[in-house]
Amino acid sequence: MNHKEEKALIQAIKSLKGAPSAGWPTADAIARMDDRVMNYVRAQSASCKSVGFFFMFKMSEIRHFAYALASFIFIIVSAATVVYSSNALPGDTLYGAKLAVEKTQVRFTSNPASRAKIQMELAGNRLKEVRMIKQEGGVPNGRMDDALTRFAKDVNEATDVLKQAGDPVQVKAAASEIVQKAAQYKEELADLGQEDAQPAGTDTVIEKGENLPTTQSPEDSVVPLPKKRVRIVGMAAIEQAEQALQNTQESLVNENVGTQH
Amino acid sequence: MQRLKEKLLVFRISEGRDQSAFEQLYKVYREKIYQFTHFKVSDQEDADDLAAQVFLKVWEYLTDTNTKRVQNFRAFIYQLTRNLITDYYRRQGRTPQNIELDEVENELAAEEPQSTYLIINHLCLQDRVYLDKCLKQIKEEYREVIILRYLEDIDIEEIAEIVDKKSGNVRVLIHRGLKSLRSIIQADADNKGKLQQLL
Repeated sequence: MNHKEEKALIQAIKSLKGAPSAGWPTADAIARMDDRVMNYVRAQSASCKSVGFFFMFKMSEIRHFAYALASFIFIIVSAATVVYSSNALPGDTLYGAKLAVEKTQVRFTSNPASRAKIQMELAGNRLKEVRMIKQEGGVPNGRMDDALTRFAKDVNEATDVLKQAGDPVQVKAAASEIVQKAAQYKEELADLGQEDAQPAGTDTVIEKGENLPTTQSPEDSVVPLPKKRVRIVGMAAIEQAEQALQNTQESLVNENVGTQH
Repeated sequence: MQRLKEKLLVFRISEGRDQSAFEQLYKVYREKIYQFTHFKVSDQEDADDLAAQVFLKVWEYLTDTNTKRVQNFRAFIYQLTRNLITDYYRRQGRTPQNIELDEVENELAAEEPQSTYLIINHLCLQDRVYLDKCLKQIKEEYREVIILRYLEDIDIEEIAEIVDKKSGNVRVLIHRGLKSLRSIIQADADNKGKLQQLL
């Protein structure tokens, strides 16, 4: 039998579906069957009890489907949390989640040199947060301070972690990258510190409800402005990191010299 | 999705003797099982009776707490139908008979034997009674798998589950069934051609 014949035969057989001449029931036959079957079932069945939603969980198939659905929803919610938390700032609800995600990123990197580079990049995130808080404006409420403190911490951790790295080649490469980042952050800090520069003597924070003093002098400043904190905290951290990196690079050079001798 | 829906309905029937759930399942399979029994049992009344009995047995099985839970309802109902038909023939003390092909009046006067392809195209597609009778002439086990595959649109693996054979065997049976059907059609066409010549 060739393919053409087989195809025609199959098509002919399929055309029998629904054909009364090929056993498909007529309306009368259906009506007779319905009467017989449903009367029997009605006579046999007790009063219908509706099956409760939680009762249906006895079915293993529904349970498996429910677990799969729950896992899927969990994954979606987790992914959404990661996405939405990426723009969170200190004080926001999802800021903790953002820091947790970053910490996970560091923890899952086994190589100390790579971890140091990541830590330094995360410090850059803190600087971005400082800039975003500054752009929001409003009354300073410690958020910028929080971001700057974390920035300093990340920078220090980057240099500390780098010291743990064993491979001199990796250390050298990582140190070079971190130095570049440090230079970049220094510039950004300088910009942040110089933006909205005000004449000397006006470095005071107006507390809510207080009257604006008519005469102001630097000695009257009680609360340092954010841009001062930028200089104090941010720059100090960068300078410290630069010193640490310089020490690291010097020790690498000494090791090289030592091995050559 | 259909499978999941059926499982839910089966569960409702088993746990709650839910009549409306049974009615939903019944309406899905009513015509299919009816046609299936008519292909396997020649007597019209007996076939009607058997088709109804299938659903009564389905209800009894599902509502009986001592029976195993049904995983695949479609396979289950066809297996039940086959078993009932086997019992029917056993009670009658006979095996399934193939119907002899009557001479069917044919407007296509054949002066010489035509290719089987033309016969299938002209005869079988236009004259379903003729094809139905040809189908009933092939062996019962071939006819069964051909009906399940091409009329009921069931895949090979499920047919294997229904007829309790391996899927490879089912494929062979389908192929042999189609070949057998073709031979019957060809032989009949040849006979008609010869008859015309005699006339």
